[in-house]
Amino acid sequence: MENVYLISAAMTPFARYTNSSYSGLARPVILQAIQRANLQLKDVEAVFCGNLFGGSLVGQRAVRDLGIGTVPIFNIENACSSSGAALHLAAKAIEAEQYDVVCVLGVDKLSQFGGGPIPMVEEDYEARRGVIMPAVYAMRARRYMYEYNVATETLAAVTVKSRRHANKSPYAQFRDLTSVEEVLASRVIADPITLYQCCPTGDGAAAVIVCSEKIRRQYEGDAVAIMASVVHSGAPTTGYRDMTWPSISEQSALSAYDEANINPTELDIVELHDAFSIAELIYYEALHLCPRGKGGEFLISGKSTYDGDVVVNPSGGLLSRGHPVGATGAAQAAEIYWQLTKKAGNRQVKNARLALSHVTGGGISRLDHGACTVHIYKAA
Amino acid sequence: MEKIDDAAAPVLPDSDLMEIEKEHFTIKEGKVYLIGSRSRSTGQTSYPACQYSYETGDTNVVSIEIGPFGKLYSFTSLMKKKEQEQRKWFGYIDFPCGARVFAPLQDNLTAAQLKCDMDVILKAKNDDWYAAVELDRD
Repeated sequence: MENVYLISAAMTPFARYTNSSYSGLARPVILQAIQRANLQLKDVEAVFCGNLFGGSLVGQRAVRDLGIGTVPIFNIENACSSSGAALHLAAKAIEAEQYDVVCVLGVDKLSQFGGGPIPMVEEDYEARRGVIMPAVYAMRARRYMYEYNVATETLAAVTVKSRRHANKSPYAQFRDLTSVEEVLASRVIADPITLYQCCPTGDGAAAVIVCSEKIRRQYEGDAVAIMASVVHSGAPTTGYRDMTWPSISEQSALSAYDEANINPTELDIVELHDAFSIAELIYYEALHLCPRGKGGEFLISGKSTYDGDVVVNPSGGLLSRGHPVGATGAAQAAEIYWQLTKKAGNRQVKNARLALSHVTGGGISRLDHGACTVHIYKAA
Repeated sequence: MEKIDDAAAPVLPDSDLMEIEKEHFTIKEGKVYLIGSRSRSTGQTSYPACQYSYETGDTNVVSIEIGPFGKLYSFTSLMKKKEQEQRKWFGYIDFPCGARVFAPLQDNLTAAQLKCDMDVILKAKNDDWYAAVELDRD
């Protein structure tokens, strides 16, 4: 992908905002993103809005009071990948010279459900049988531990690292440091996954401005180039599937590496989809950051944190930054924009030049995942 | 699905909700079998029954009996409501016919009693079926 850039980002801290509507969450970040890009509202030629639980016309509701009513507004639902998919469609539209300036918004409000796991699709057989997302990842964890002789302490160490990163981020929902013992002592949600190994339910919004080469040249601030933008959906099967190997994530990553013409060892930062502790380990492997079965060793040896091989989830990731489902893809892009433009404050990864974001949405049986989105970025 | 020659003919929806309203299993000589499907064109087996063959999209599908023996691929337990004291166990069962089925496991289990790849057998209670870990092949 060429001539597609991020030139600003804005985001709410992820938290429970019971007094804010979807519009209330989204409007401030849209305005800030436009202003930080030194643009006017009238410069925005299209809005791509990712969300899962917002109901009808979330994007239109978000921009109605800003007067951006007449441009094309697209609402994209792809579960956790919703705003990742929105970014993909926006980037493709810019690359195709359909627009010069678009706003990508991700927003969701999980506090509306009170707490607990996100609702599943009732028409789905496994959901009606009682499956919830923590159970799916718990069965992945159980199988992974069995095949690779990994201890529960290794799973818990994912959360410990996540909180350590989030401790430096003003956007993270959980910032307090924790220990392996504390993580394992928290309530069992889906054996062997405990509460602290699950991403929190929360609310939030994030927006990025995506633009063409023409607009980037006019812009005097810092820009980040999008080098690859990939979406894959999972292959269906009613038969045996290796739950320790998320092929949709691997295929998406390989397509992105090919498009960007880079090697995974060149990455400085990865924001990956750590919805549950086990996810981080298997996604290290699927993204080819380490060999298969070595995710635990990669974590414990410190290769996925500051001063390691690659800093994974400097934002704290889904486990600590939070996961208002439809907002996550845009939040990852925002974090990477700040990191690659040296605006990330005391969580800044030194000399970061190349980054990858990975967000993958599941929730229905017979698919590995519904949609996986991978983007690769370079400091421009 | 066969092509409808009349290009303007109405296309009716699948009544698939009728199929998922209850569990489909049978008991023969004391053994429990799930009523699933096999695609004649691809060999794909499935429970619940699948009306279509993946990859080809055809409906050349026949009913088959799945079980009673399988292997526990993975498992977990849930306590869906805080007031519940007992955890409910679930798992994926791999059957020799190639189908993997999400299954409720027997009550009163502990994690120490379960292991990936252990043998399980289908059992039935009231209007439902489940997978049990104690084998009785007699």
